[in-house]
Amino acid sequence: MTILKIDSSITGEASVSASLPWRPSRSFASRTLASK
Amino acid sequence: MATIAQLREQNPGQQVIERDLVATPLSHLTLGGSADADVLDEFLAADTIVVGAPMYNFTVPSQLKAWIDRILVAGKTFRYGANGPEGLAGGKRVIVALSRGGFYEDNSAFEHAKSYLQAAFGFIGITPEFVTADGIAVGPEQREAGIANGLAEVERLAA
Repeated sequence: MTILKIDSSITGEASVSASLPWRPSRSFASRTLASK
Repeated sequence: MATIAQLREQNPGQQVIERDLVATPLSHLTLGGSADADVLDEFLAADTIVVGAPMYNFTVPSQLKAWIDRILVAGKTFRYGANGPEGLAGGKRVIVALSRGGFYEDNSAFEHAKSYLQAAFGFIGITPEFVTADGIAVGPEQREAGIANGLAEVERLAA
């Protein structure tokens, strides 16, 4: 059995661990959407 | 590596092959893209695929899109039959570890990460599973809660 692990996070943090945070310098979208 | 660790704990001895699309990016798809057959072969040879996918600007990273462009190949992972497109990769398990900076409803006009991956993998016959960390960029509390939620979902993954 083979697992293929694909990473696509530019931060280098472990996205596959589901702990990848992306911290945009301008977080307009996430903050705006989260406040709705 | 929580997802991989969980899978290996459930089924010890599984081989893990890693492809880091940031360290070794694939080029944009061109007419000569079929030269990247090794990417498709690697996918076809895997039983389980774990995809780390952050949402950037409402969709998946372009690095991941380039990879998907190599695995959605007519005649290999899907075909057009008498009843329309038919997925040919249905025997595989795909788990997507998705992180998003905010909170998105599945039908949000801004949500093109989970919805895209569901459609793309669905097109080749796979229903992907998701473990999700949301609200990562909202604030420290939301970030912590989002990660905790994602890790809890990892622990609930079926063997």
